[in-house]
Amino acid sequence: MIEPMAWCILAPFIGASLAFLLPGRVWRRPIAIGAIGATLASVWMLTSQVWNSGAQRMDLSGWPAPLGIGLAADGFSVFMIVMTGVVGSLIGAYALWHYSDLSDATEPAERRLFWPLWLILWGSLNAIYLSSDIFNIYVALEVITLAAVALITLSGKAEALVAAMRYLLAAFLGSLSYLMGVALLYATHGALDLVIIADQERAGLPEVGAFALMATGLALKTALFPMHFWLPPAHSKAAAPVSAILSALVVKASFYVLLRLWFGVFDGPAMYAVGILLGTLGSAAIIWGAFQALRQMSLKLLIAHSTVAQIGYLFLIFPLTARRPSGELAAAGWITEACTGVSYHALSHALAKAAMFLGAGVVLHVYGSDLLTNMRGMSRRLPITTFALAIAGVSLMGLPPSGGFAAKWLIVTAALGAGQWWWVLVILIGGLLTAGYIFLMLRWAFISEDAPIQLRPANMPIQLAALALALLSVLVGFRLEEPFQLLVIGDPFPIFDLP
Amino acid sequence: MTRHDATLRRRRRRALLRVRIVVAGAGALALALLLVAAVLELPEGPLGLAEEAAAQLAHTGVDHAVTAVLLNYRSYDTWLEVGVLLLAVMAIFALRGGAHLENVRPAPRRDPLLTWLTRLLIPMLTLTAGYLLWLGKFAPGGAFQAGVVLGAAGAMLRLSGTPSLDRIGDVAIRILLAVGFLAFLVAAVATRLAGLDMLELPPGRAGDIILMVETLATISIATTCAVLVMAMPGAESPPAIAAKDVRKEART
Amino acid sequence: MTLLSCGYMSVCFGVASAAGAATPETPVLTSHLVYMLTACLLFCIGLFGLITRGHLMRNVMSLNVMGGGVFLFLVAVARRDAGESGPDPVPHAMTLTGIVVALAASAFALALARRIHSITGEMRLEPGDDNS
Repeated sequence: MIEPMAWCILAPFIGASLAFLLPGRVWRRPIAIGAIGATLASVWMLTSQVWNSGAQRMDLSGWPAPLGIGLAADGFSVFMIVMTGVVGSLIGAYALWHYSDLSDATEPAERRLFWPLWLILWGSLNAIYLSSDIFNIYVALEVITLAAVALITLSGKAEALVAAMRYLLAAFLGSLSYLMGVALLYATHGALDLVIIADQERAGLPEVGAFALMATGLALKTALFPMHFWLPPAHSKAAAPVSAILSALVVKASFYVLLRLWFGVFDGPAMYAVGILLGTLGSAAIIWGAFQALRQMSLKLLIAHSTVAQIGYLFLIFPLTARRPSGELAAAGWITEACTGVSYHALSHALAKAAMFLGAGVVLHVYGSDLLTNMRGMSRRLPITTFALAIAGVSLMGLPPSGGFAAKWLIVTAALGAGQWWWVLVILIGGLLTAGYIFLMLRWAFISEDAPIQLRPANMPIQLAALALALLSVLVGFRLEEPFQLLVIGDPFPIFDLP
Repeated sequence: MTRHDATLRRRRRRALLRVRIVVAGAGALALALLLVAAVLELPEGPLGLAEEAAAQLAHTGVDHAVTAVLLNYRSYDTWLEVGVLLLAVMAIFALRGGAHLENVRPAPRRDPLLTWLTRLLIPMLTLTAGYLLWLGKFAPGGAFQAGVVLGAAGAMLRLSGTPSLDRIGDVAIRILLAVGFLAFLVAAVATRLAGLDMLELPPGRAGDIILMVETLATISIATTCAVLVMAMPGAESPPAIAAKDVRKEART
Repeated sequence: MTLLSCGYMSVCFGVASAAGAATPETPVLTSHLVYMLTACLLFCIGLFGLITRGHLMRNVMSLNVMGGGVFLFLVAVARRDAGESGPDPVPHAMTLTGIVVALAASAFALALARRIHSITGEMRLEPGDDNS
């Protein structure tokens, strides 16, 4: 019997087990391609199932909640799973080359371990997006953390190890903080299922404490300013496909959980203040991350700081969907725009950032270093990669027509509708600073080289993977109807209902 | 001048540390106050799932409620947890630059007393592990307790210089490590194919299936624990020691 | 050592405060509450240790002190929710799962720390950090 929800988790896990048991060179490619194909097929089936017949829910082990664990798929889960599927398989296509004998950047041990780690990570990302149980989410978050840190350490370089250690400590702290929140919520409600907890009466201080712990832990894992200290080294010292996975996908998982808690569990007089606080930290991240990106001299560090900034935009959803102490919504009537805008930003950032890190991987492979000053003459030598970096940059800046533009336009509309004009100001300044560091990055590519230097030839398929991601990040800006329709299936942002 | 700089730097670092301690102290204190206030406001209870879990216990195939939660009601969590253990091993393999245990640190010299003790303890540990595994059905015990005890036996073999897991080859080690995760995976796929909910155990056979899954999980957990001890990267590689010495010299 | 003694003191403090308050007039402070408060203190002590200490081994220990706090809290909840058939098994199972997850993460963190030590000769992330 076919159950797409289960197979979205099972397919990558089966692939991971096979890749772990059969690490030989002969098997690597068929297993990787088979796992990607099977996962994409499951994602496709799940999408059409939810699209045609609405939100899904299944009870694992045959026990309905509260005793068992429930899997649930609504429009938002499917949106995130599709994002993971598209970005993940294109990164996978790049990794097929990067972790093969064709690339001299990797050791045999790395090649053996990349696929099991990445497939387990992919499966648990899908598990998070489908889970309806706060403790199950904790376990899946830990799987993601360990897999992500292990992926960083694959290269074995000292600076990568130090970055991985810092990331592991931060993420471990985040997990424990989240787990303490889970314990408090269980002590308050006697249940772990998100739907059951959401249906119960709000419980005041214990719930506020639980939310404070969980939100801090998840914000630490998402690298919200000022808890972003671990992100730039961890994301820039890893190998290119790993950087792309971390920046595009992994940080989104903890943000997703935070959003679920915000809409499902947390409500009360403190909501507005918390929302404004999260929005302010997000704004600070936008300015600070972009400012730091302007000062970087190496491509990957620049892109990693840009991730810090782009994560900030995600947190603008909180002030825009908060309820004032008087009980009315801050942005009544504009909630759909705010939620769709932020979801859309997550998608276009995932595509653009994966494109940039893969592009940086090509640069690193060809030039042997990712110092910006070394990238002279790149526009002529690597036209495809330069083009990919440029249009991914267009999407990050939010120039029309691109996914980034559509997302920022929706957020700006919602902010103006809510009368919170100051976020618009932040978005504008952030956009200008983004334009600044993108131009700074591309400037070197268009300066012709002083003297002809001997470089390694670039390989076409890996350039095409980066290009495809970059093109997609722009193209998603052209069609907003389907995502709009998808994101209301199953009412993932239940505040919609309220007056 | 350089000495002056060093003093300044040290002073600055001390000041920074003091700031860090004050900030951390204030933060931890604030969190403690929040938590204490939250705990004092908690409902009186009893609130949880004790009654529900007990009411369905007869259909779970085991008589101990915690084992029922771990391997029946919430077996999906346990599956992911076995996955976390597998990941820890993979991560350590990644740090070692490969999966082989052949080049683990040379075992210490054999010691007659240690050998004697090992001979005495290994059968007892194995027996205890088997007992704990079986005990899980109706009392505190089960795969994790059994696996850790058996893993301790593996670590002991290692410490006493007796060849064990490091001699059985790469493929076999991988199979032993993955078999627990695979057991859950097979159960998940098989239950779907049989038309049940994922990981749903038919009440008549639940006891046998749980015992089988637990046995396989015990093997994996024991191997994981033993491998974590054996493959733990050490400070023994010569270039590293040299680098350290250089650094020490540079500092003095 | 400082950390451990702090943990011990907090336990003593929790018990003492319970003994002081558990008079017939104030039956509020029941035994599970003492454990819960102790658990919260342990969590905060671990957090303090994690932020102020630079040595990687101590960082991992601090995280485990925090984890100990969470697990103690869960067990206390199980005790509070005890029915006729014994304590609530769900928090017990969560504790077991949490312990195994913490074990895996700690093992990895220690392995990583040793690897960093063998390459850089430092057992901390910021070289030259005097604070142990």
